[in-house]
Amino acid sequence: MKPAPFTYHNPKTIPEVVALLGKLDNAKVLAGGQSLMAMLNMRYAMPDNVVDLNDVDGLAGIELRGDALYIGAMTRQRDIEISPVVKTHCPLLVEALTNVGHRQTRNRGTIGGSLCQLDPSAELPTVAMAMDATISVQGKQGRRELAMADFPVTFMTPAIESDEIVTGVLLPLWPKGHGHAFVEFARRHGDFAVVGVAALLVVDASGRVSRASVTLCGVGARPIRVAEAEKCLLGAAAGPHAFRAAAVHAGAIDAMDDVHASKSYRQQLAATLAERALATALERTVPKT
Amino acid sequence: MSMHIQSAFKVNAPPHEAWRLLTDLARVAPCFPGAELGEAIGDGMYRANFKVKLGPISLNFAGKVGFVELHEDRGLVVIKASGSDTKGRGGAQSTVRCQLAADAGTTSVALDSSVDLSGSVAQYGRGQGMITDLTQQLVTRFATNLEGLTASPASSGTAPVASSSEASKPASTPGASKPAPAAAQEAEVGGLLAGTLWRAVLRFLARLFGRAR
Amino acid sequence: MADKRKITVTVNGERYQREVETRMTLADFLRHELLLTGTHLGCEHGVCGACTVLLNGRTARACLTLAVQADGRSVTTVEGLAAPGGDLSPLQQAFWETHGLQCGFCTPGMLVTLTEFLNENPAPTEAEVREVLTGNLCRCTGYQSIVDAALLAAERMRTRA
Repeated sequence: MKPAPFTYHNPKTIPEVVALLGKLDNAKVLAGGQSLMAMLNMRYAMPDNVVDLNDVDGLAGIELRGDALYIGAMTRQRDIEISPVVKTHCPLLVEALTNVGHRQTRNRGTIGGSLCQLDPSAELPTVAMAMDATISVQGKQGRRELAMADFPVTFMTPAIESDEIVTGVLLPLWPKGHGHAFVEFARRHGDFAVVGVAALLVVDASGRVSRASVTLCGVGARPIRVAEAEKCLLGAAAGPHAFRAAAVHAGAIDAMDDVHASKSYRQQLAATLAERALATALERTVPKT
Repeated sequence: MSMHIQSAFKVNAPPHEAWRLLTDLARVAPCFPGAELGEAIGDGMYRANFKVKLGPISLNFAGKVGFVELHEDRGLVVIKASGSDTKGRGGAQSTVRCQLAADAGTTSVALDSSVDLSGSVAQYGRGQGMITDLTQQLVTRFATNLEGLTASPASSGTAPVASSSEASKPASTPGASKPAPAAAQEAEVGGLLAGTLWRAVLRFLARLFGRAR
Repeated sequence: MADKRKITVTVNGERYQREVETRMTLADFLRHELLLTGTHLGCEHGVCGACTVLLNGRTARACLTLAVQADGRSVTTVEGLAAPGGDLSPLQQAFWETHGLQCGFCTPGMLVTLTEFLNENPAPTEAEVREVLTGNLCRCTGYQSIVDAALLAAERMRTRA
C-alpha cells in the first residue's frame, strides 16, 4: 500500500502551478491529500506527476467581501470550522463541516480539494450549491468564474481543464436572522453520508417563508437543489405542514442505487432529513420585523 | 461488477446498406468514445485501446475487439471487446449485440450491451454509481456516434466526437432541475477535448473522410 | 531513476536530515528512516487513525502525508509525549490507570489525538471526547476505558493547573 513512483513538484506561486500543469502529462494536483493520498497509497491513482499546492502563496484565507464570504481554495477545513467570521455569517458551513470526516482529516483537508473531488456525498460542494456559490478558477487561459450549478460535469468531475486549478469560492451570504441546518445520515459519525440535506430559510414578520434553499447530497452525481421544494415553501406559513409538503418533493428526487443504499431508501432519507432540516432551520430563524 | 444497457439508433438506409456500414470495424470501433483500433491479430479480432477518465483517475484498457457473430440473414452483429488496465487496476469485458430491423426504407438498430468490470476498478466503493453512470453514457454516445456515422459521412456537423473519453455532461442527470441546452453541452465537450484527445478525434475524422472517397 | 529530495524535519524536538523518495509517506519516513516505530500503520488509507501524529502542532494522518511535505516542519509522535526525564504525561498515566489499552496498536494514535484535544478543551464532556475519537479505531477496548482515561487526565490537568 505505497504509492507508485511519481515526480514531485512543489511550486511556490500560482503562475508556476499553471505552467507546470500546462506542460506535464498525467499530473494530479495535491491539496489536503485526504482523498488523493489514499488513492495513491492504494495505487488506484497512478499519476506520473504530483503537483503539491501546499507551498503556494495566496491560496488560503477567509475574508468578508461585502455581502459575500470568500474562502481561498487551500484554506483548511478546520480553519473554516473554527473561524468566528464563518460562525457569524455562514453558520451552515460550520454545521456542515462538523460532518466532514474527522478532526485529523479536517486539519489537512481543504475546501478547494473537496470541491474538486466532488464526492457525491460531500458536504462542502452541497453548501456551495445551497448558497449559489461562485467558483474561481485559474489556468493557462487566465482567470474565470463559474457558478456552482455549472461546476460539476458528472460524478467526481469538475468543469475545469487539466491546466486549471480552483483558487477560491465566493459564498453570497444569507441575511442576518436566517435559519440554517445541515442534517445527514451516515452509518457512523464521520463516514460518508448516505444522504444529507442543507436547508436555509428566511421567515418574514408574518411567519411566512420569504426565501428557501433545500439541497440534497448523496443521491446522485452532484448535489441537487430541490427546486420544487423551494417553490412550495415560498409564501407558505413556516411550519410542519409546509415542511411536510417540501419533504415530499425531496423524496421524489431520482436517486442512485448502489452497494451503500437502494434508490428507495435514499428517497426516504431525503424526505425525512429534509423535514428535520427545515424544522431545525426554522428554530434557528430570527423572523424579520 | 456487471452492467446491462439497452440503447437504440436509426440508420438512414435500408438494412443491407446499414449492415455494410456497421460491419466495418474500422469505422465502428472509433465510435466508442476513447477507443482506438490497432492491427488485426487474426480470427477477425483486432488490437484495441480504450482510454477513459473515471472521476479522479485515468484508465487505459488495452486488449482486443472484433465481431464474434455475423448473421446477415438475421440482421444480427455481435461485437466482443476485452481489455485490462495497463497499470493493473482491473479488466473490462463487453459484449454488444446489435439487432438490425427494417423500418420503412430505413433501419432501426437495437443495441444490447453487457459490460463486466473486474479488479480494483470495479471494487472502488465510492465509484459504483459513477461507473454505472459512465458506462451508460459511453454506450449512449456509441449509439449516437454510430447514427452520425451512418447519417451523412461527408457532413462535419454530424461527425461524432468519438474520442471524448471523459464522462462529459450527461443527457439527463437524476433529479437535475435544469437540463443543459445542447449548444452548451457541445461547448463543454469541446473544452474538454485537449491535447491527446483532440489528436485522436482528428485521426478519426481523417479516417472517416478517407473512407468516404 | 527514483525521484528523491533532501528534507530536514524536526521530530520530537530533534532535527533530522535525510534524502527520501518523494513518494515516501511521513509514516514510513518516521518508521523506516528514523526508526520511530511508535507510529503505527493500520490501514494506510486514512480511516483508522493509528498513524496519527502532530504536524506543526496539529493532528494529521501520517499515512496521508508525504515525507517531503514535512520538510522544514516539526512533527510530534507518541515517542515525544513523555517528559524528557521519562515521566509519562498525565494522559499517558491516565491510560495506564484506566486500562485504556489492551493490544496497544491504536494507542499511539489515540494519545496524539487526545493530546491535541485536551490542550484545547480542558473540561470536555464525554460526548465531546467520543466525538474527537471518531477518527481513531480500536478493536480491543470498546472505547470506554479510553474515554475514561481522557476524562481522568482532563480532571487531573485542571486541578494541577
